[in-house]
Order: sequence, then structure tokens, then C-alpha cells
Amino acid sequence: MLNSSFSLTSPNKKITLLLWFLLIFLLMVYLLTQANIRSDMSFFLSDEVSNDEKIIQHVLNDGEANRLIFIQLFNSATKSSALTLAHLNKEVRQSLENSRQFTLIENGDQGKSLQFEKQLYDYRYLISTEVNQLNALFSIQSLKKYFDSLAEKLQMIVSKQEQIRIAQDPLSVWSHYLKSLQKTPLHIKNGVWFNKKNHTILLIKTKENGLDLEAQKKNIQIIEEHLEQILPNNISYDISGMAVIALDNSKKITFQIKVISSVASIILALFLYFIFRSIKLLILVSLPLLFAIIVGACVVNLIYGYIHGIALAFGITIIGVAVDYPIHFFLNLQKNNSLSSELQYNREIILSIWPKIKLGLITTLIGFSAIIFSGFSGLNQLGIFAISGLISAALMTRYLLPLFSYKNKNKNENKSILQRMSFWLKPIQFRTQCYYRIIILLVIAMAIIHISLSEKLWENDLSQLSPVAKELKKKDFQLRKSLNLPELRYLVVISAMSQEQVLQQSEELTPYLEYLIKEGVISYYDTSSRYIPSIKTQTGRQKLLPDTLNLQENLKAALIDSPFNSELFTPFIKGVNNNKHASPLTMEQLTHSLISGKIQSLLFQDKLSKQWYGLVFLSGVKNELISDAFNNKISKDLEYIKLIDIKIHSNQLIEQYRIEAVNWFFIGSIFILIFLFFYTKELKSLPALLIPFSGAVILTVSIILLLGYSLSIFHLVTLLLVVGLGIDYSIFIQSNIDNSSLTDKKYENINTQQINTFSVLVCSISSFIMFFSLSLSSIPVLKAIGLTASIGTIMAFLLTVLISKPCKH
Amino acid sequence: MIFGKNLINQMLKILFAVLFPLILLFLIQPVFAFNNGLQKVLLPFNTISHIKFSYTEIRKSVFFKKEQYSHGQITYIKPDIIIKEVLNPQNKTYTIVNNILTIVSLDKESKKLKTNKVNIENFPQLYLFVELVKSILSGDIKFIKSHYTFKLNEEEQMWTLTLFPLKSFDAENIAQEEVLKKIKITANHKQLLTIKMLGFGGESTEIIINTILERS
Repeated sequence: MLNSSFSLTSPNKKITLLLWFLLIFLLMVYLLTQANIRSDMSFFLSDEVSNDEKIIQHVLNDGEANRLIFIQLFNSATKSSALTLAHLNKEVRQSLENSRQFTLIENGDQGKSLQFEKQLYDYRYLISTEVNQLNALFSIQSLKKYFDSLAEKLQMIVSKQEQIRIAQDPLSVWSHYLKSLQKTPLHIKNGVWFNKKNHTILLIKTKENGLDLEAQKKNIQIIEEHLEQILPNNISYDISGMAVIALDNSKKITFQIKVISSVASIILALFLYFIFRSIKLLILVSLPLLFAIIVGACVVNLIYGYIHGIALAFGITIIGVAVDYPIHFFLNLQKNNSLSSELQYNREIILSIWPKIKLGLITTLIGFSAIIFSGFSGLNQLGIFAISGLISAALMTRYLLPLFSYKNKNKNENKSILQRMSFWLKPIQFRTQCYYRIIILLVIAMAIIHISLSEKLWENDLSQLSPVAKELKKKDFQLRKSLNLPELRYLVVISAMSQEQVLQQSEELTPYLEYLIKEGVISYYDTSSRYIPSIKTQTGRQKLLPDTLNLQENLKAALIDSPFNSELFTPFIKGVNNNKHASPLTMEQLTHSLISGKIQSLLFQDKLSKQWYGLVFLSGVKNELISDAFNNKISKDLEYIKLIDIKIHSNQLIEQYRIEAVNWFFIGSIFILIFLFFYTKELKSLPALLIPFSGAVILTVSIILLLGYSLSIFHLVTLLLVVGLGIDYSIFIQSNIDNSSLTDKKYENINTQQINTFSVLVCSISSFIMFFSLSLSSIPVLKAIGLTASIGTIMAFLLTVLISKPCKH
Repeated sequence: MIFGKNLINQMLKILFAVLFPLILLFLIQPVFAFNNGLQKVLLPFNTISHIKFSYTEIRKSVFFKKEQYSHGQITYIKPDIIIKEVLNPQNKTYTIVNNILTIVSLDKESKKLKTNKVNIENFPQLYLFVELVKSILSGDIKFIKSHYTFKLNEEEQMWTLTLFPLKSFDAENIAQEEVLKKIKITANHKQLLTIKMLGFGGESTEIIINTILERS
């Protein structure tokens, strides 16, 4: 058995080991304290981000939509009275408001959240559209009408609060403004929202982004705790929203990864144990890969200041080849050591395989370095991660692993490994190289024809790869629809050089949007000018407001035959006068108001270009009509308006990303070809090096298509791993690629090519175990990666073995 | 429109104010039963299937120069039809059938009758009240207990029932107890006499039951 006890006898060795551990420790500390992992769409965005992309990023990262959580309360067993549910709804709202964990909680009670927003209330005559007819509003006739209506209202007792409000705003201008902000078509029963199924609904806006999973997990826990405390046993609840979907996704993926990787790791450990018969060796096999991940993450974080979550996940996948380096080393140690001390022997062995590792490494790095030059920061990070990771894994294998002792206590163990090796190599040792080469070339040619004839080669619609359950998506869609919340597919964009211009243009757009509602193309729209009108509109309204004397006279005349005591409406006259002479309300004044988040999601400035953008979210959109309605009418009249279809746009983005990745993939392959040509200095040996990895890629793609899948960006990135593995395998198996200064003659009793073939076999089986397990996942992304890598591994191995010269016996 | 939902809301509130006498009318019939508690009082109501009475309403508001008077008639037909006819100062009819309220009034400008329909479930205070009526008529005092506390005082010829609102909210989320301090009902042993609702800052509404016009 291989005994891997660490014998630290030499002081130099101790220092080297200490330095290695210190380095790992420091890198870990750096990662734990400084790593900034981002999980947003920017992975797929080009460095030269277009305006549309900036807007989509703003909507997805800073928009309100993904901060919303919906709660439904219902009684599934018996029909609960609306009153009971309404009371519980109000109680839940109160309780959650008291927790101060959320930005806003709404349940349909006529804009309660904004009812006491003083800053807005003080500007009521400038912000309410009711005031557009102000010249009529403050006429004697109009005042009479309003006060008649008020007299009817006052036949019922009013609260103290209402008394104050009536004295200040007898025309109910504020109430009209609040109602104009109400957008839901839900029924209001007992003061709260109810849907058709008699479920009562609450809407919660979280402080954190919906993609901040940790924070959202905490938020949902808080909500659940409150619900559990308040609701009786017969009332059930349902929580939905982007955050819930993201968490559900995360849970599902984490669970599957845990289960799959645990099972696969056990199988892999058993397999490697069967080969090496040493637990310590199992640990050492994984060391270079772990080190590669740490270094890759540190380097990316150092260069960019953050790491894309997707780059990290893909990066770990494509540097899987790092596991092969220690396997090659450990298996090559099986050559008998009768000539030198153990440390010396380890060094000789690592030196004997180092040229191959180095060649494989350089070739792989050339392939990966191509993507560093792409215009996508996501791809750049992936390239840097892979390059730095693979270099560090190779260096660890080269300089750290030989320092450990792998002394065999029992010499028979060596024999048993060699016996196992012969057993495993039997099926592949009898082959006629030329015959196989022709077959391989034919198969590859057929695969190329199959790929080129394939009808749907690429899948650009990422939603097809989404693991979100259809039911959850449907529920979220229905809740959004019932609350008239934007559907996030269509977005109207207004851009201008100032905030004021955007608001003015948004006001110009309003009649067109009202027309679309009338025509049934949309059911609702949300725009910044709905909340805060432009300064132009506000000053226009100020001109319409009467001066104090006029208003006093009109009011007196209007109330002459009424039951009202006109003296009690002095606050009303004062309020109108204040609005007439106030500076118009601006977005900045509302920074600390409840409405500020809403306005900021609809009106924002790009810090770099200083350009202002106004967004109009649409609800209840008829997909088949919206584009025509915009192109035929609105865009012609208002040139500054643009309709963005986020779905089409993001699919285009993915397509563009994929084209870029494919291009760099091919450029990388050409670089590899050139490098290998210069390295081997002969055309004759090139096919043996090129066919395994290029053939593996072609066959893998063809098989994936045959299985009925289309290729996605996930398949494509995983193919980079296949390239790395293919190169590694062919370099190790091809006996003529060996420029080692240390000849194998020292170890004549062992066939080096056999060991290398066995070593590659062990590597490919290890990779296959891990990735095949992943391909069994029900999550499309994991399946895509697993399927590509497992098929690719097998193809790369088979092609390498079949194309190489048979082993000598 | 300010004359749309608001107006309906106001009218509903008026109706709400007038519905109290209806309940209390039923409450006083078996007045002796109060001695044995509210539960016993409510039991005989099932026997009344139809009643109609005239009323006078006196409204005091901080905004009004003087008290406002109105007159009319209220009809109840078991199980869920309630009709309120305001005859003075202007004609207006409110009808509730199965939680749907229909308001018929004369439009001042066009001089034509106009009709509005609304579901009272969207108006919590009125809905609460209708639920209260139903609870009383079905002899279920749970609802009253969950929304009011009550006090019953008896003298030789008169009795007074005072209801104190518990916490519940109206459409604008204003707690009922912030609107109403109490509801005071006076009656003699034969007939309900007055219902007075007291608000804050001098707000009050008093309804005087004049005559029982029909009863079966």
C-alpha cells in the first residue's frame, strides 16, 4: 500500500511546506474578507454596454420588481368570512410594519402608506391632476358643487383626523391624487385587497434586492414568523415573488448539487481508493484543484474588484482538468525506485512528467487566453480564473506534491497496482492504429454533417434552461397580473439630458398610454410623472391657483346658502396660497419619503454619461398588439420614446455572447494548432494531438443534438473543459511527445506509455464519475454541464487511445 | 371623479346611520327580556318578517353653522331587504338586497332620476353594520360582543342601551373608536325613542323614531 505519511526530515522541505501553507492561508484570508461575489446579468454583458442594456441592468438590479413579496391569506377548508380575513390581513400588515424590516407594505387600503406623507401632501395642489381643471375648480360654481358633495359626506360623523383634513382640503384633491396612484383591479373588501378566489393579499417591498439571497432568506423567515404567530390554524398562507422563486431555485440547486456531488464523491473516492489504496492520497489528489479555485478567485477579485458568480461556477467546471496533474504524478511514482532516495525519486518522477504537464498546461492556457481578449467581462473573468487556477494547480503538483513521502512499506503493493493496471488496459491494448484513424475520421465527418444540418443548433432563450417550476412561475404571473404590476417584458424608455425633460416627455406620452388602455392594448402603466409632475406642469398649475383674496371671495359666495361655516376653511385658503408661492417639488426633496424608491426605479441618471432615463412599466400587455401600436403611432409622434422587449433583447444578448464565445473558441483552437506545430516541429504528429480534443468537441456536440437538446452557453463553456481534457490526454498518451531530460530508460522495467495510458484512464474515469452524476440532475443547467463534460471526457479518452500507437508488451 | 365613489360612500354612511334604529326597534320589542341579558332579547326577533317606520334625523357637525334636519321612512323585509327613503330635504332612496346597494336620486342638473349600484362589501363600515343587523336578527350576539361593549340602564318607564365601539377599521383604516365615542339608545317599554351617536369635537347624529307605519 502506498504510505503517504509526511516525513518532514529536511529543514528546507519544512520551510517550503510552511511557505505553501502560509500562502494558502493568506489567500483564504483574502478571499474570506475581500471577495465580492456578484450574481447579476452583467456576466453576459459586453464591456461596451449599450443604453438599452444599461436600462435592463437598472431594471433587473435596482428596479422594484424583484424586491416585491406577495402574501395570500385564505381558508382552503371552509369559506372564511371576508371580514375575518381582512382583519387578519390588517393585523399582519401592522405586525410587519412594526418590525421595521421592510420598505413598504401594502394591502389595498387606499394608499394608507402615503396618506400621511407630509411632504407630498403639502404640495397637493401642484401634484394632483385634478388641478389641471383648477381654473374651473376654484370657480364659485365648482366650489358649490364640491361643498354640496361634502355636505352629503358630513351627514355621517367624521373622525378628528378627517375633520382636520376636510378643513385643509375640502375639495379632496389629496384623496384624488392617492386614488390616481391606485392601480390594482383587485376588489377591496373591508378595506383590503381580495382576489376572485376570496384570498386576501398583501404586497411587501423589501429593502434588499431580490437576488440578495441571504437577505431575502431572512426576510421570508421574518414574514413566516409573523404569519405563524398571527394566523389561526384554519387560515393558510402562500408567499410568492421573485425572491421566493430565487430562493426556491437556490434551494433546489443546492440540494441537487449536495446529493449528486456527495454520491459522486463517494463513488469517486471508492474508485481512487481502489486504484491507490490510500486515503491520504485521495486528499492530496484534490489539493491542486482546491488551490486552483482559491488562486483563480483571488486573482479575479484582485483584478476586477469582484467575481461574477457565474464565472466562479463555470471556472470551477473548466479547471476540472487540474485533478489530472496529481493523478499523473502519483501513478508515475509506480515506476520502481531502486536508484535514489525518496525525495530525489519524487523529483525525478515529477521532472519526467513535467514537460507533458507543462505542454498540456500551455496549450490549454492558449485556448483559454483567447477568451481574455473578448469584449465580455464575464468571459474575461472566466479566462483569467482558468489560467491562474491551472497554473497554480500545475505549480503545486510540480513543487509541493513531491515534498511528501509516498514510501511503500510493502513492495507487493506496487505490483498489485501494476496488476490492476494491466487488467484495466487489456480492453484497449489491441488495436490497429490506421484502421481506427479512418473510422474516427469518418465518424467525425458524419458528426460535422449532422451538426451542420441540425435545425435548432442553439438555444438562446435562457428561460428554457430555468429550473423554476412552471407552477411557481404561473402563480407569480397571476399575482402580478391581479395587482396590475408590470410584467417586466416590455419597457418604454424616455431619455433626455435632464430630469425635467424626462418628466415633460413622460407627460407628453401620457395621453398615448391612456389611448392604449382604452384600446385594450395595456391595462395600466406606471410612470414617474404620475408621482411627481414636471416643474413646467407644476408652475402651470401654480398659475391656475387663485390668489388668497379671490379664493376667499369665491368661497364666501359659494357657501352663502350652504350649511357650512366658511371661517372654518381658513386652512384650505392657506394651503392653496402656500402652493401658489412654493418652489416646485423636486425628486431630491423626496429622498427620504416612502415614494422615493418608487420614483428612483422609474427615473434615474446614468452616472457616466449624465443621461437621464425615464421608464414606463406596462401591465396587462397584449403581446401581439403592443409593438404595432408603438411603431405605428407613438414612435412616429414622439421620437424620443423607445419600446424595449426585454425578452427579445436578453435573448439577443445571449446570442451575441454565444457568437463571441464561439469565435474566441475557434481563435483559441487555431492558436493551439500553431503552438503545437511549433512545439512538435512536424506536421506528422499534429493529427494525433489535434484529433482527440477537436474530435471530442465535435462528437460531443453531435451526441447532445442527437439526444434532442439544443446547445446553450452552458454547453459551450463546458466544451472548454473538454478541450483541456483532450489536450491533456493526448499529450500523456502520445509517446513521441516527450522532451524530458530524464529518460525513461532508468525505469525500463515499467512501460511508461502504459503508465501514462493508465493514468489518463484513471483521470477520465474520475471526470466521468463526477460529470455523469451531474448529468442526472433535473436542473437544466447542471444537466447541460454534466452531459457535455461526461460525453466529452469519454470521447476525448477514446479518441486519444484509438489514435495513439498501441502499447508495447 | 369626486362625485362618484365618494358620493356613494357618503350616502352609505347616511344609510348606516339610519340602520341603527332598525336594529333597536327590534331590540325594544321584548324589552322585559333585557333583564335576562342580550341573548334572550334577541330570540323573539325571528318572528318579525316586515316593519316600516318614519324617522327624523338631527345632525350636528363642527363644519355646519346650525343643526341639519332630515325626515323619511325605513323598511325592513326579512331576511335581507332594507329600504331607506329620504323624503326631506331631498328625495333619495337606498335599497340593500344581498349586499348590493342601489341608490336612486334626482339629478339636480338633468332633473332625471339616476341610479347607482354598489357592493357594500367594499365599504367596511356599512358592511360591518349590515353584519351586525344580521347577527341581531339571527340572535347571534358574538358579532356584537366582538365589535362593541354595551351597558344597559333601566328606569321605571325608560331604558338606555349604550354601545361602545371596539377596535375595527373603516375603508380608510380609521379605527371605528376614533370616529364614534358611543352609541346611545333610549326607549320606553313600548317603543324605541332615540338613537344618538356621539363623535369627537362636537360631532353627533340623533335619530328620532316617530311612528311605526307597518309591522307583521
